[in-house]
Amino acid sequence: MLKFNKRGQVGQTLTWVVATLIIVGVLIFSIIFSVTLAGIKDWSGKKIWGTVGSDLNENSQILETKTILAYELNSENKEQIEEILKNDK
Amino acid sequence: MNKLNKSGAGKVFSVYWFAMILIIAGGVFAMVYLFYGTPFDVRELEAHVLTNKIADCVSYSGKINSNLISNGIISENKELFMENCHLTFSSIEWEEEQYYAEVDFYKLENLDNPFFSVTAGNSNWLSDCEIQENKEYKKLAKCNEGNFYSVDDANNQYIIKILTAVRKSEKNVKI
Repeated sequence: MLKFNKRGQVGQTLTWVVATLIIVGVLIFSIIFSVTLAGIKDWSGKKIWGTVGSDLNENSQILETKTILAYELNSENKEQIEEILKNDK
Repeated sequence: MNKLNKSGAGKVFSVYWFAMILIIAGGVFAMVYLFYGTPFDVRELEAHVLTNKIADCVSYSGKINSNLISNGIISENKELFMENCHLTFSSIEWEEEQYYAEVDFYKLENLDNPFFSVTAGNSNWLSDCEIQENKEYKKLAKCNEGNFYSVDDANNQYIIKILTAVRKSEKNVKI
């Protein structure tokens, strides 16, 4: 009878220890997750998870469009100009 | 004896639950503090937007704004150019201007020295851009460079380089 009681006690303690570890684990995971989310707040122009942020490449296309439109007006030395613009990027 | 044991276990459990509540509350507090304590840093985006806005004002449909260069001659009012673009760099929120913009016009024949330049804002932030060429420092101003090609009324060719800097570190970085 005494032996049974001891086994029961060990089993119960183990259940509580595991439950505590799970709770602490979930908490640590959540803290790490919120730190990661906070890091995403630095919107340096990267598209994050395809939802938030903005793709700055799309913005630079505005300047490229201006160049293409200018070529329509005067495309002399086009290769030289393209080389200069490429090197400055 | 049995009664005593039961009350002892109850005490241990209440201490355990109290500790658990404290740990969970602390964890939730840490999560909220970590997430909301970090401000959104949108300075780089702001610098890009500023570059694009200036580019729109400098050149439209491939042609340079005639208020800047007309038939190869630089306008006398070039210093008022940014104002004409409806760009206001000063704000009542800040004691000193938090933006800097520089537009350099280069002729193809001489790419080392700009044909002419237009600047606006606080030039102190220019040094921040130079420092960050090698390594990025969060508290310094964020910079953006853009370049494109355009022509004037007389079809003269120009390479236009735009440099913008946005500081506003206090509102965008945890200091």
